Amino acid sequence: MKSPSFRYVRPDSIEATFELLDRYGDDAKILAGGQSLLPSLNMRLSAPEVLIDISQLNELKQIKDVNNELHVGALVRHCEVESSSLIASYAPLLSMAMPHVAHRAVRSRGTFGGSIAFADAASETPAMVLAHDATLVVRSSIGERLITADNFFLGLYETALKPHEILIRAEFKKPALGEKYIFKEIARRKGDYATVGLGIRARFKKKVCSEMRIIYFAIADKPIVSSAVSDYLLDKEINAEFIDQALSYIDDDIQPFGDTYHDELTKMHLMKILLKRSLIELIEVNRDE
Amino acid sequence: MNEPLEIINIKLTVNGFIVNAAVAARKHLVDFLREDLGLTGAHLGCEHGICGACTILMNGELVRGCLVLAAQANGSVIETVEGACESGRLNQLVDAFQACNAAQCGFCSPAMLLTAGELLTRSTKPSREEIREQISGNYCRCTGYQAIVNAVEFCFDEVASNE
Amino acid sequence: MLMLLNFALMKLPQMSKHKHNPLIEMDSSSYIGKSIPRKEIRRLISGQGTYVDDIQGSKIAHVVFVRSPYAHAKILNIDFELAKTYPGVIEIVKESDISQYCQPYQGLLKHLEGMKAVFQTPLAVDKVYWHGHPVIAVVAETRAQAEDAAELVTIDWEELPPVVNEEEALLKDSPLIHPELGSNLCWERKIDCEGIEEIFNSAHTVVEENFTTSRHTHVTLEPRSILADYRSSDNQLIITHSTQVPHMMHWVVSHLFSIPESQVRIIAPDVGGSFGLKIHVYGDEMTAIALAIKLKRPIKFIADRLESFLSDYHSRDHRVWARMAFSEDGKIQAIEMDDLQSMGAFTGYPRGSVNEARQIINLVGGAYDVPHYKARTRVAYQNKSMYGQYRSVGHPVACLVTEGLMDRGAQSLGIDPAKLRQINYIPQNSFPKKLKSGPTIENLSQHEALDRLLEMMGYLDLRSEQKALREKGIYRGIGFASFLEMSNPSSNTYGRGGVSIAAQDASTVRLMPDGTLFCTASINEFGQGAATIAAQIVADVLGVSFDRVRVSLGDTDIAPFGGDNWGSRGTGIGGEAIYQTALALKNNILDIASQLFTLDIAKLGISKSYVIKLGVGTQIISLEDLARIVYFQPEKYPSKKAPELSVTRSYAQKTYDGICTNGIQASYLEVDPEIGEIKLLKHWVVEDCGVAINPLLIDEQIRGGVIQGIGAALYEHCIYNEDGQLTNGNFMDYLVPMAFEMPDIEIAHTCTPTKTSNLGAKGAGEAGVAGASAAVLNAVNDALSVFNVHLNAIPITPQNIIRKLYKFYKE
Repeated sequence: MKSPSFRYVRPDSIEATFELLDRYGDDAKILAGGQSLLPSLNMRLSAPEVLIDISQLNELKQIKDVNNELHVGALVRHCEVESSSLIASYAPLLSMAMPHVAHRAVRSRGTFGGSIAFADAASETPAMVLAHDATLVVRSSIGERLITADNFFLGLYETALKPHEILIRAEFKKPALGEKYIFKEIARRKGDYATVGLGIRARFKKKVCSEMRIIYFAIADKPIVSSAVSDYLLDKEINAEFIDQALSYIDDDIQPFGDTYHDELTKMHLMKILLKRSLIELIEVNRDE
Repeated sequence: MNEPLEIINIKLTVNGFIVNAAVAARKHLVDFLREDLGLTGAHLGCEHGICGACTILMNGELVRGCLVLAAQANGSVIETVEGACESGRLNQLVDAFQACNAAQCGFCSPAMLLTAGELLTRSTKPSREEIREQISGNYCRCTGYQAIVNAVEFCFDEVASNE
Repeated sequence: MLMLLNFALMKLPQMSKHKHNPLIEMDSSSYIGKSIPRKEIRRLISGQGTYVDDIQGSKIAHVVFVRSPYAHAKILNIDFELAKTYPGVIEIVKESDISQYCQPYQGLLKHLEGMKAVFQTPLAVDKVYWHGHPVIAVVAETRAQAEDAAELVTIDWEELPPVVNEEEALLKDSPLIHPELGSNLCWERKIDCEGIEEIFNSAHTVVEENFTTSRHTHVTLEPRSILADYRSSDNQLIITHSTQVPHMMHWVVSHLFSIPESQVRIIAPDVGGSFGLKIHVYGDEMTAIALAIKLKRPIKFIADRLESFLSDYHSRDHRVWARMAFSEDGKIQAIEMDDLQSMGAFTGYPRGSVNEARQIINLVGGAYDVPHYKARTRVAYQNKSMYGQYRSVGHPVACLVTEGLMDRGAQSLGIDPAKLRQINYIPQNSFPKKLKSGPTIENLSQHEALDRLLEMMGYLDLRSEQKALREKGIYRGIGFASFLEMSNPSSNTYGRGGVSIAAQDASTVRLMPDGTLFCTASINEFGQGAATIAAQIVADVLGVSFDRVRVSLGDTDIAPFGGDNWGSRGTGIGGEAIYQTALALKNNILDIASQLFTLDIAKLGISKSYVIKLGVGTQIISLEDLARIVYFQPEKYPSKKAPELSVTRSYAQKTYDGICTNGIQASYLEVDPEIGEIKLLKHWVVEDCGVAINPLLIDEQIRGGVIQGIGAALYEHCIYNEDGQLTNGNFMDYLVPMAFEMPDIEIAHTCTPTKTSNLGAKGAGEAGVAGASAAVLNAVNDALSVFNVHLNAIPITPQNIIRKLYKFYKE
């Protein structure tokens, strides 16, 4: 189908962007990579009056180390995230997730910030940003705000971004020494949205788990931070028995949503298996080092 | 410059030629190439950005043309299959596609050629799995993909046997 | 006939390497049986193809349809006055505005006893009958404007209860979709068998299952496309159509629009895939033609992907209960089956929507020696999209049922599944064999194919590997599927039933003044290689280089009238017509030469574009010089009878209902039972299509078909909800195979030529689809056999596997 009519503008500065946002409010949509917005326009699922193309805002395209913090600009493309060695050292889960994001031709256009702002519950980037406890920097004509990832993703396609705000960048603290990472997802075909997925960051003191952060995605209306399962695993020398027991807490962590091909029961089952396999791999990774 | 408009003036390079045009804001790049420039090699299979039949090269990278507005292509360098074939850089792959019967109805083929063509720049022969991964974003309903994988391998084998 | 038995030349190219580079100029004039690459690939892949949508011009107007959002509803009111004022809009019509141009049509096969059908109009009139049924057509200067205007059309509806369950549809108290028909049963056929009940009761082993194959659709990458142009000054309709069947469309359009056949021209340019999709008549396409006549402007309709899912014909929607009785030593004693097909709201025109059911009841158990067969098939109307043929019509379902039961039987009896098949195949000495269901099978090579397959697979090693891995908790499965695939159909399919679809094909071959050859025929090219096959045959017979033959297909002004492509008839019937035409032309050429040079015609031949003396090889005259004499200097030609350098011949297969081919497939895969994920490791096909004109093209057809069959086995499903709405009609939610998950497919052939033609070629285009789903389903069940579960439905989704294996699903 063909998109409905709209007006288009490509502001040459952030200030101009804010002026447009303030002027048009809800009638405008931000166009970054367009890999989510344009399909929805082509299918006539949305009909904004104005598209504000922010792709000229070069200050949003940087990946840099700033005082031992990694700043990833909103307009960094997925293919750049994929090949960035800085991101591989500061936010490895993001790097590990990128090959699963659609296909090459989409990764060359789709943006890091676009994916975060769109907040598709089955999307890898929002989930791994949450896994790494990033801080999102958002700005409007009024000023800048910092929002922790924990507080950013509110629901399906719903974030803490206010109508006149745009996402500027995400900031990642340098990971503590000895952090281990597991990324896993199940998808019907490689590149599809995940059926279920998770990211784990953990630290061990010898074999005892001292920190554990588990993010589940593609199973609810937004990525979920584990509490019951991760709390259970803390301070334990994780073994097969503890893993089995931990799985039983997953129901306390997640209220699942089904999709076209998987109902809630199947989703929870798949997530349990994924979690089990992830934890097994985690203790192997820990043992190897 | 900062005023939203329905008609956008764009200037871009397509297959080596500089193009100036005024396009409707909503017109996507593939429709622009097909309708305004007569470059019908990029095809529309879905306009959802999934089937890949619209794949072209933008600033040297593979993109889904249906997910780029013509307006967004202002200032960019576009190469379509017509330009890529004209340049001769894919000659070997074209030969290989023919030898291996890697195209049947041909609708996916220009996009498949460009996508698979990216692998030719590699110095070592990719594995069959890597080839399959490279082309996995391009739907083909006729060949079942195997002949296309064969065609890429054929190129590397040809080079090897000629050395 | 026998002079073509040099099929030892049929050396198949290796899978991933080509020992010979086929791009080297082919010097030899022996082409039949060779893997010649297609010329047109270079044109197509470099973006020089011409598909319907590539034809552009400012005169062309675009049509978009307002379609029903409901499965069943009354149209209370339509208002398009506002829409008409939208910039760029040329016209907006409803059915009554075009009914003067296009007659209603009824898809009915009169030779199918009891078949019930109603007439249909291109656009809905008072009621809509399926989600997507077109009601209003909006014509504008651009597609985008037409879509904008379409959003301004308002229709008031009164929803009616939809009939969306095929079993309930046939109950007495079901609402009727077409009350005038008295029921929702479109067609039924029964095959009775006295005494079969006792056979089942007393048999050593009986296996039974309820199989489900889920509705899915062709998903051609180029959607349905048509450009209709009406020249009012001479009442001529020129339609450029992405179609598989220009001649059928020629007849249809002429009769629906009351324009003499000689005034209609259908041109199929490059066609981006069909697989049976583009052989049906669609209301939206007929509307486009009506608008071209009404508005006297060329009208283009390109179905976009969303409306493709809604309005393309769907297929393969069956529930089949079946059982098989075996003796202790594994011989099949009886098969009984009951098939229920769920179709659409109207019968497809002109082919009906029941051919799938026809083939299923004909072919369940068909590969085997089955002494007793009882069966029923019923086809139920539904408030769903139109329904009809998809590649390998019916065969995949018949195969899935039969081969599923064979594996169940093998398991129950403790007999190896390959062995069980071997002992039950129709004995080689019983051909031709008439099946209990009606069709007669000419000849097959099932035992040989099975042997070849087991050898290719390294079957025993695979079984050892499977066993060893199972002990490590890795579950691999091997699934076999023996299949029959009917090809080269006779008029029994359509013509006998009063349907104007040709069962014969014709070809014209012309020697040009420069000695090159021009060939046209009533078959068509849509990627399978028809033009290459034609050129090979002509070049081979006429002793010229392959490059000196040009083939033109798909234009009804150029090609003689014939049957087009469907039912794997292109090579077997069209190819035979081409062959006989080439032979006749060769004879004419030799006759001319013998007259010119006073030579005995029996001693002449043609080689490398020269008439030669056989044996010695002396060149007598070049084809060019001979042609120049005939065309430009006829005074040199002695005989009074005018020489003919343009020859037309035709051929129809009249001996059997269809020429049966056989094959066997095997799938080797790994199941991860915890997550229901299937990894396809390898796939094999051994297939018999008689004489193979071009092994490369055949193998690639088979591969494409296998992947489609795998798509049906694992992914594809048009999902309707209880309200009769298609819920997943887009590429996000309807999944087709992508390259990464698909296996390599190894192919070999056995060869049993048909005696019904000189060429001996049977059809091959559909063989890949016929057995692939069954092979995969059987392999999954083999992998999961240790868990004592059986899957009986496709697509096999991870959820389906998990549901079978895990207690939390068992209530």
